[in-house]
Amino acid sequence: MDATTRAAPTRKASALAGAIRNMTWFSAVLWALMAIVGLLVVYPLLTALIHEFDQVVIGLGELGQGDLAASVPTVLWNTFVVVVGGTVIALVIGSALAWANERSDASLGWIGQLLPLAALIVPPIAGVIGWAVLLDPRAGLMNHFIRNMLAPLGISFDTGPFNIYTMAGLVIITGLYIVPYVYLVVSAALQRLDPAVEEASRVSGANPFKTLYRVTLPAVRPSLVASALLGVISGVSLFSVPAILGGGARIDVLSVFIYRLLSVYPTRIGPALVLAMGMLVLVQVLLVAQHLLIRRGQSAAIGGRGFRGTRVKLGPFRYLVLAMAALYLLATAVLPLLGLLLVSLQPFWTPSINWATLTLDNFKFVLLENKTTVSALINSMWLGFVVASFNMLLTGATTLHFVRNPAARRLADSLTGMPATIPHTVIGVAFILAFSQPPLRIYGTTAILLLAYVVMTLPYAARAASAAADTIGIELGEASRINKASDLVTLWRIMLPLALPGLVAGWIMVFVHTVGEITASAFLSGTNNPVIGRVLLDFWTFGNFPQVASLALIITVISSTFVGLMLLVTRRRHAVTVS
Amino acid sequence: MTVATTRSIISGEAGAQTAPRVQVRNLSKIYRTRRGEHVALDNVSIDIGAGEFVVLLGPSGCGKTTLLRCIAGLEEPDGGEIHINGKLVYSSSAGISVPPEGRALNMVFQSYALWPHMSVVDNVAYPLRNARASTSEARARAAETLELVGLGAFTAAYPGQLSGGQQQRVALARSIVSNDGLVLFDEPLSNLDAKVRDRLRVELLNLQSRIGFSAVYVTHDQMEALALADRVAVMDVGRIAQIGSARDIYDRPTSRYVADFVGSANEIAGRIVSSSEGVAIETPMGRLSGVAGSDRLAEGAKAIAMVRPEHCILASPGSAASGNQVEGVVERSLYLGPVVQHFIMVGEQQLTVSVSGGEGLQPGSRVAIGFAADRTRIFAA
Repeated sequence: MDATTRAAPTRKASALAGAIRNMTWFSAVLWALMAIVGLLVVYPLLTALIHEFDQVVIGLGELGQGDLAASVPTVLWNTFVVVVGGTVIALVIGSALAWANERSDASLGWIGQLLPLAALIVPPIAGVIGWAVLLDPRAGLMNHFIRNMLAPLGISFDTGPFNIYTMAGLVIITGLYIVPYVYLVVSAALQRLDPAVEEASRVSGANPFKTLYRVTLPAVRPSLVASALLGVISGVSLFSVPAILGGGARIDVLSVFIYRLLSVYPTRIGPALVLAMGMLVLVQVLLVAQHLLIRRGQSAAIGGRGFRGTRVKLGPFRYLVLAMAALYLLATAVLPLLGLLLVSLQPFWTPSINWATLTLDNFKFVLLENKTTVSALINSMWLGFVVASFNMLLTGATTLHFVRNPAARRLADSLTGMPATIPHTVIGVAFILAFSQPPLRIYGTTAILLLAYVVMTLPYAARAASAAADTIGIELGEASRINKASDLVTLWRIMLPLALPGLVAGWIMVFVHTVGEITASAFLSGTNNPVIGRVLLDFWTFGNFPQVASLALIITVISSTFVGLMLLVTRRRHAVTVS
Repeated sequence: MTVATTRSIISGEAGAQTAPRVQVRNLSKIYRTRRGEHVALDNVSIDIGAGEFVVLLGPSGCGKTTLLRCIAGLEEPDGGEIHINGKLVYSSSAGISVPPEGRALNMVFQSYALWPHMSVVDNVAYPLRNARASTSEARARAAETLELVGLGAFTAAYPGQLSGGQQQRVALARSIVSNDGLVLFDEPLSNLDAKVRDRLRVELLNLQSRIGFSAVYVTHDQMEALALADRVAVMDVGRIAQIGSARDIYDRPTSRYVADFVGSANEIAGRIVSSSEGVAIETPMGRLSGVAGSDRLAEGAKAIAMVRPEHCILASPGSAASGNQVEGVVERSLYLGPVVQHFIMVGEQQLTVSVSGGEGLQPGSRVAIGFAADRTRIFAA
């Protein structure tokens, strides 16, 4: 009797006192771990600012005069063009595809399933390198192919016709990698919007396009704005595209510029820190704006799920939509992979493929012979394994344990979601500065990478765990308690088995993100602690193109294998969220 | 509206001799929201006898589900006491709150709440396993219970493969397999088709009289309440407005709220002219006599006379009649299958009369409506 009896909180007892009284060793451990992770976010930022405060002051001065005063405005303008241009492209493609999939008879089927996962199946770094080898003005395989096709017609060039190393190239490729964010947000909004409101418009005499313009778009406007802001935020911190294409194009954008301030001798800590903080402030402002916009209401949160409405008949336009979707997959996955494959099988990168000299030597070199690539592969794999396991255990246990305590869950969610509001470039800068000095001098070790990856992927893990827990009806847990199961038995026999597919999916997502990570890897990895992202960048800079191609293909194979497993595990039961 | 399925009344008296299965004393529960406090339970007391079937009936937000969940231990009240089988399971003053797993009861949820990753037999065996029965023994008893609810052939199936009605039978089997003597039902039939609902209702009653558990059953469906209950507790915001047999509630409501919520009612406003032998009330339709539904009926006070549409009869105007009689003009008649509903304007007010198996009336024709004095309830306005 005593074992099953616990004190009921009196009416006056504060929530905090109650929370402390109900604290078990298990929840204490969870809170402690979350506090440590929270510190991992705050500590580097504060330490960097405090320790390098004099540098910040110098940096502010340097930005006002000298060479930086001349280059920084250009960098900011470039960043603006790339991010805004990319977001606009993504907004058009992403929302058009989302609308077509949710509301028209041009249902995208499996393409619609794969589309939001494109950036997971082919890591952006591999996709960008793929496009570079296709559309390099001289040696680009696709350019060469087009030149060969046009030659018999009497049209001949030495270079081109396309050049990826241009502002247009940067904008378009950046846009490609923002599309999934827009697609997901707009799809979700359309799924929540009862098609009956559109049907009401149709029977009131509006044609499909008027309905789209007057009813559907206004109803999902908050989501469109939210997805645009999300696109800008992810575009600002996107590192892989400008790192690969910006060099050849001689176009600097902010994230790569900051990286070079810290990595090229003489390092300029002050300006880097000032620019990074500016980036952080910008993103925070955008997030607040997004929050205010969404809170203002008019949002499309009407009704539940599983609406079945009549779909708009697109007629012949259907094929246009399908072609657009197919083109998107072609552009993000098929074509760049084809380019990588062809280059990786050659001894040297030449635009004309000599089928007689195809060889697997590059794969042999990367996988077996070269010390750096082998240890980078091993490091990235075990880092991915440890980071994914730690983050999923922490967020899974937290979410399932606090399922009956909304206040605790909200606090845990805001803690684990915090890193999502910090651009990865800023995390890189803060870690490099904070962990190069006592008390935690771990720069150059794999430990610093481990910590950075844990922080950066924590929001993905938390979102996956939340989604997994939310698919379990509250009554399933209550029914277990009613049937005489203790909290631990309920967790073990009911909650965990039901959440497992979602947790496994989250694990795979974190693993794939970690293995393909490029930003923190560029900042924090070096010869002593190589990881794939860093080695890819280095090899690209040094011009080891066939090796780069084969390494990029290898991580693509790893990623897509794991994503395939994820799709198998979730069997389309749970919605999978990227980003 | 007729209650065709009304059961013969087995009142709770048999159970009242022994100790009640559940004793709820002065229970209160307040939800604090951003917009202020909402009183979900306001000093509620109720006893549920052994083997008794009590239905908590009321509109959404009246606190019926909160009361059920407080008994279950899924929600913690703010004050009062709950005893189950004589054992104190909740007391605000003594600081006792036994979690659900420590209370001798089981529950059937609205959403069935079957665990999709366990087979049907494992779902039903779960409470036995938690009571430390061996796997084989638990499975054997679960299979027997499934036989009892007519699902003997589905032991190896998974919940997702069953229809809604079958799933709720599994949930029912799970709630009776450990024989706790008390089963709580949270609107268990509201997700089912009307036909399945009717059949399950009868089966539920058969099971209950066979096994003899006490039942507390939450619903907002008044027909279901009347059909199932030994006693119905009609709830108004946070309190029990009336508790009694189905017949008490329907024929002898003690408040306008209960009269209105259970069944439909014609209400005629007026003033009390005499409250001695029977009550007489002066209305725009003339003087009506009836019985007092509630106390506080002082002469001259404003009051409401209530009569149910099916307690009215139609006659030709001018015919002599005992009891109350008013005359009016037919507005419209609706044919509803078992009954015909007539809407009749009596002066300024529309009255509804339900006649079983009658013909429609010509709109505009004059009719007389008669209703007996003992069918007319008079409440303070």
